Amino acid sequence: MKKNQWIDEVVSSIKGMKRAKPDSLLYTQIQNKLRTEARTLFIPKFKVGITFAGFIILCLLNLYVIFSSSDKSENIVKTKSTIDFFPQQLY
Amino acid sequence: MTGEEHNNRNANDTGLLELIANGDETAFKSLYNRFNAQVYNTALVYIQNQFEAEEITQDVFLEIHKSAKGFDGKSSLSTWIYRITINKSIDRLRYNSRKKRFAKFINLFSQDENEFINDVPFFDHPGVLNENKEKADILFKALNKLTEQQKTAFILTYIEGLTGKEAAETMNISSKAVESLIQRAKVNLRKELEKFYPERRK
Repeated sequence: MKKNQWIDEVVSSIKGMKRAKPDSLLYTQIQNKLRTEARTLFIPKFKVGITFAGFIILCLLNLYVIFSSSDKSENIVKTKSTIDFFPQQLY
Repeated sequence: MTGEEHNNRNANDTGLLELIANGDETAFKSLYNRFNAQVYNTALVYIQNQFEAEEITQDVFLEIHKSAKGFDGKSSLSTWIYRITINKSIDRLRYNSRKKRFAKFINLFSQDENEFINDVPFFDHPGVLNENKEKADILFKALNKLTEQQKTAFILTYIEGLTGKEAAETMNISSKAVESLIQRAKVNLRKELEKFYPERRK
């Protein structure tokens, strides 16, 4: 009986409860966040495009250099092996 | 509120959000003034930590600012804001419980017994009358033992004072489902409170 009464009192302890309000400086903090987000998030589309195109060109140039140099080294190896096979013909 | 008043208010709210989407700071400030206590109080009861409730309030208003263009006016502005607040609060609660689980796991390997985290600090809601603070703290602790849905239904109806219909709209479920959630919440709350009954500990 006493227990039920206590439980009822606990449940009704929030009756007449007022809404809590946030700190008065919170709005200023939100505004600051909005400003910094706007500053950091805005990147013009053409800049993104130019950066991406530059990156692609750089990758293609790298690939070109890698494959062209590997072709050259293959040629050198081939020539060297021909010389090794017919060494007397040079004299 | 009559049907016409309701429609006018919805039209005004949609207009307000359009202004916010176009970067009108006065409109944003007026929306903040209207809803800051609603957002903060809901988050505070969910999280039971003033610092984190302020962080959630910040996140909610940043989200409103970001998604103002996407508001379709199908539900009321207040309902839309409640939904954002509840989702953010639930996300934070899940994150906190993951963090607590991880901390407990780490503590299994720790030598220092003092490192054990006390996860039930006293919660002092500033809106509760002084003479009820201790009992309200017990109620809030028992509230944390309910399921997410039951807790949401209880907070929206008993603490925020929404009608069953409004709570149903906010939670995207039927009014009957809200009623049944509240019934179950009450039963479970009583069961939990029995565990807190002081004489039982003696």
